Amino acid sequence: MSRTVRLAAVQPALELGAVEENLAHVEELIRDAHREHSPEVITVPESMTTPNVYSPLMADAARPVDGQPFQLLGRLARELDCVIGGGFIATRGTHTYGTYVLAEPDGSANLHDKDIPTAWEHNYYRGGDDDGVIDSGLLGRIGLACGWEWARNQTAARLRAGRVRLLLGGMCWPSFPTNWPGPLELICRRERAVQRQLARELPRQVARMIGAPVSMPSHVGDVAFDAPMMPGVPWKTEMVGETQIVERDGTILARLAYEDGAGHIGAEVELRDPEPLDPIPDRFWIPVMPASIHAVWHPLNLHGAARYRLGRARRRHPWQQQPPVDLPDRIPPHRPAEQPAAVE
Amino acid sequence: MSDDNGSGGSAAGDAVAVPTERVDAVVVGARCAGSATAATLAGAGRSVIVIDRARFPSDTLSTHAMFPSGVAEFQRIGAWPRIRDELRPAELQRVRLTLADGTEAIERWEPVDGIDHGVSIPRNLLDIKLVENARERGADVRERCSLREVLWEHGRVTGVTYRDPEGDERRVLADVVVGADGRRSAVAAGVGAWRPYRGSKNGRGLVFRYMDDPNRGSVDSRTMWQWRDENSLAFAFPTPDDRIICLFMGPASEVADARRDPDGYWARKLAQHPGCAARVTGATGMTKLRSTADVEAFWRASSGPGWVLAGDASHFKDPVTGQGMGDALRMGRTLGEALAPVLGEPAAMDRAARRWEHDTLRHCLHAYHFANFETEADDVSPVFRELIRHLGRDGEPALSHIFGRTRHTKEVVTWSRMVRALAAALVRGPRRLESLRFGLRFALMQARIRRELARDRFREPGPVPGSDHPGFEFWEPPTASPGAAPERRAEAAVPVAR
Repeated sequence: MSRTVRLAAVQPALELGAVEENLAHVEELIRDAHREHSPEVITVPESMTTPNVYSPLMADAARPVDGQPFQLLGRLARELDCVIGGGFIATRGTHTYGTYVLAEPDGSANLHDKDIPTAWEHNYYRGGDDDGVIDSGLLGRIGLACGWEWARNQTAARLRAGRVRLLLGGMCWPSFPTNWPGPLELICRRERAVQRQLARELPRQVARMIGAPVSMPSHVGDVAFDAPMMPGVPWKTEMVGETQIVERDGTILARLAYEDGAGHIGAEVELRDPEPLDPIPDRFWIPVMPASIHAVWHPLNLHGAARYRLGRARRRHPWQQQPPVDLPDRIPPHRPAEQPAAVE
Repeated sequence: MSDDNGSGGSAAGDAVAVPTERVDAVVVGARCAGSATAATLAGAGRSVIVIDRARFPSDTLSTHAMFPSGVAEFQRIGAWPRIRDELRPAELQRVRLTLADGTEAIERWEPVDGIDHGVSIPRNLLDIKLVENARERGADVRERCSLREVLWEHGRVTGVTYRDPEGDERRVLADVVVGADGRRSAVAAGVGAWRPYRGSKNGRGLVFRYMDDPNRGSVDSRTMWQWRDENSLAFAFPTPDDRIICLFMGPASEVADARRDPDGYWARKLAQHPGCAARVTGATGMTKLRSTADVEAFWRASSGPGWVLAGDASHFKDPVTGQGMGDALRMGRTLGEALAPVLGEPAAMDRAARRWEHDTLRHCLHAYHFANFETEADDVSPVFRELIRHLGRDGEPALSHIFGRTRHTKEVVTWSRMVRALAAALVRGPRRLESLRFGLRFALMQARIRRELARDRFREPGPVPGSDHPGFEFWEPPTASPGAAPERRAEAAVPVAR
């Protein structure tokens, strides 16, 4: 049985490490999107608490899975009578994850942990093991994906196997440096252009592979951080934007690019059984990633994962100062006075 | 503390002018946990507003037993000189437990911070002293003020609105909202923590009255005395002004009898507890009976973004062991100490609050299990009798340490003591088969409890079979009546009962 649903996607410009301020900004954008589009679903990107980059400020970015970001999404879902999704670095049990929460007006929620952290993200959390296929009370069988999880063929295969009718989630895609001088800038300029193109193409590719509409909210704006494995070298980046709502055939229904800055888009899509149009190639990435990405992918993954494990073993992560808690991936409906207690 | 008499900032998106203030902390509830929190925070230089529905002096249902560790909490929050000098409570230096066959344990309390006695002070006398202490240390305690809403902004609790004594609505914005408003906590409902993650059905009810102490001036007037006969417990605790509280804790079903036929109930209980009857013989000035069977134990999630629950709002243990007030005071003080340095830093505050909740869990979980054991309204087992017989005779920690919380329960009820008590009960008789069953059941339950304590998990939902009693049913959460809804509700706020 098919039905139409109106989606909205938020493209925020966030400040590095300023979790509370960013959540306030995100809330304003969600409310604004609700007023303008009257949607049934509003999504914000993964890592809505801070841009996901390499910086000492990231050490304090993790929040308990039932903490402020979760509360914000759940309470807005109730108040606006709308499905609301967003991601953040969440403490779940004795680890942190890149968790995406889809909260519904009846108090129910579904949680998905990003499968593989991207490059330096390994410093701050580890990968999850759920398939990202959820059963939403209002939307039925849908998929959730975070960041470059969108860009992997294994993700598309999972979602196709799960016969999702819609893909939600969010993106945080930083570019190559904008501040490296001389000949490096020539290289970086070309790489930035490539990355923008890849980000622009990706939602369409995924939609056609899984045969279902997608809504991909993305970070936008300029962020300064530190180059990993190169102490003292600054890295200014541009979050590439490309917030899009795309039909199952790849038609872009609404889009915000980098130049559009922060904002939101809305579009109506049809929920029905998936009809994949394109095959899923037998390779790792959906886009043809440039050599530069391949060159940094593995070293940064290893570097970040080693630092995460070492910090955890020495109990140096700030989130380890509090008792471990977790929520189930599927939280059933409940009344406002009866929220689930996050337990160990 | 800052005042904003106009639109009240951004917290609520309101159109009507609501007088708004900004402080570091707002505490809902001014009794044990609330006043201790407020006194500690204010003493550390933080601005604190406390609201409470009551006008003090105000009574509330309570066993009001305070052991030396509880009196030490009075001292730590600075309230003890005022309580000691103005109320002159009896210094209860001894604890005495008497069984039907004459088996007794009589012990002196182990001093805590130099305090070697407990007190028993009715709440209408005590709570106002705690309020006065909080005020003296700088907290702004506002009586006859009822919580209306918990305010949320950006996923954090940011304050409350309340009705002042004139019925006008007021708003307080704060870095943290502390719910110290009892078991039916409106703050717990407002933050979504109403439903406990763990609970246990009580087996006993509570019936008590006050009277003049017929043994004033004797050693009995310095003794907290407990009698155990058949399946019932009786207590006599001297209170200020040469009075005593006499309290019975039989099966919960007896509470209905006490309400239906107070005189008959009283006579039956005195006949059941001849030792207690002898203690109160000649007593005059008896008050009416007060009672409750509504004492189920529970644990709530007690910390979140911008909010904390303390005292009975956080967790409740069966009152049979008299730990509620002492734990509430300790929770309030330690909460104030944990939050004072980090208010204004949301992430650090949330971490500190969650660590505090875990510390509280560690401190109170064994007492919860002890109370669950004590609330079982069974006849006194011969094994328990033998345990009491040997407690205090080997120079090792004993009964007073359990009630006084100066030692962990497992340090007192050791495996060797359990084995010796079981062996003695089997040798002496009677009821050997029952003793064997009790001993095995108790040992298995203790093993499970100790395993849980050793795991040290946060918000452990349990249950521990044998300790967490089935049949736990919780109250329905409060709901706002539509007609009473405010015209302009704060954005993202959850209505609570008023």
